[in-house]
Amino acid sequence: MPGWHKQVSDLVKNGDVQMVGIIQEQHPDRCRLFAQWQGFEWPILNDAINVLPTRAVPVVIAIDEHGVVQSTRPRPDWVRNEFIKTDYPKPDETARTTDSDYVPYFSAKQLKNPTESLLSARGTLIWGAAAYQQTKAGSPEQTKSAEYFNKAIALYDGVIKEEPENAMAHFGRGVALRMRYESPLRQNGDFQAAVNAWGKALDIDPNHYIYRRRIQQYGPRLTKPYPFYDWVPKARADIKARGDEPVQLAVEPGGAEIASPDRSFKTAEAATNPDPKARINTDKNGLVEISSVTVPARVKPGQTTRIHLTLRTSGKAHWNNEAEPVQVWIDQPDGWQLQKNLFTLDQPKKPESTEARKVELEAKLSANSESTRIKGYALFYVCEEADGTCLYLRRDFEIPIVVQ
Amino acid sequence: MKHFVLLSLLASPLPGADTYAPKVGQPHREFVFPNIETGKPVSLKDYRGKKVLLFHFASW
Repeated sequence: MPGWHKQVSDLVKNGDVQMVGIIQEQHPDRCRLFAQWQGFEWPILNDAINVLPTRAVPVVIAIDEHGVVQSTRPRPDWVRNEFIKTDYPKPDETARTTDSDYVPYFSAKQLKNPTESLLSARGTLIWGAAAYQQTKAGSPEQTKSAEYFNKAIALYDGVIKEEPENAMAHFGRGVALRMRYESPLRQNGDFQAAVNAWGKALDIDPNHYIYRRRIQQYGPRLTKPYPFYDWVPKARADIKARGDEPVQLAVEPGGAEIASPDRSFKTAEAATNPDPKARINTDKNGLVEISSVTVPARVKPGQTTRIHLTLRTSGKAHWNNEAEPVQVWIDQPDGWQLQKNLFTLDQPKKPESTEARKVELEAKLSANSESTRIKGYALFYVCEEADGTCLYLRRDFEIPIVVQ
Repeated sequence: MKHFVLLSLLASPLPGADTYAPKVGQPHREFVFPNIETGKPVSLKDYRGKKVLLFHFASW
């Protein structure tokens, strides 16, 4: 797109042609940062659930003054020498769709009482997400608008009950689940359920580029076509160097989203298990919760999966950052390879905090793997909110791996 | 950052799959989506009377 932007920018300035972008991303603020970096000043619209449905990106389509497609593969010189100079005839209006045939516009009032249908699910998710994204982080309005994700998920559930093999419904449901996962209304299991839903959509429609990319965004480096958001630091630096303030991101891309493809599987040197006999006191009061997600959700023997672990303090405690950092140990199943066994997590400089802490690693299954649960544990310093008691504790966890 | 174009042709329609593809000489499917800056609805109809270059892309 930056190439096209430069080649036709004079035509846009003169009003000879209108550029309109449509993106296929769950995080429109990341595209806002990209557009700010590249100097895009034309409108960009968000089709997070692939309603249109684009089966590849980037794609450029030239549409004339009557809304008729004149080229699906235009070249800049054709735009300059022919497209903008031609008066195209008005088409037969009977062939035209309406803009609510595929996704209806829902006002705030309409969002409150959607009917049960795929169109309603789409409308609720697209316009509910748009409303959510306009709210201030941490505000009561943000929490209230996150309810739209609950509604959209329920509507998609209804569609899937009637049409279990509807790929677009599964994909949209996955998007809604991931959006809820990143919202104040996050529920345990949302991220894994989103990955499962995208996987189901791809099972039904295995050639769908957008479905595949969504899984690759969070998946192993082995199957990645490119790092998805590695451009973010450079974009921020360039924007700041111009004297501007970069667009703030609601969710910072990290881990798999910025990892480079790697066709080999490298493992770190064997680490020493810090508590092999489980002598550290167990976190019996649930001061820290640990959840895991595997991407893809199901793997074949010999394949690689990416494991996302998230550690969150419960409302009953906070991290004690004046002590040693959190450690995570993961047992290696026989015959498997893990990138690493032992992780030491970064912690902020302030003495206490409650942020989620994440570990990502890849596991390569053995050639004869069966479904299993990888065991591991975390060691951490936390302080109880009730009386300020600080403790060094261990919490065990299991990571289910589904082999198909 | 690299962009790859994958052209995939469907032999037959899949359940729940929308096989729409823009065709030269036919009206483009109408749509209304939120503007990523404002969240306000923008439709293709809003640009009637103008020549439009519609860019499908992603920042990744």
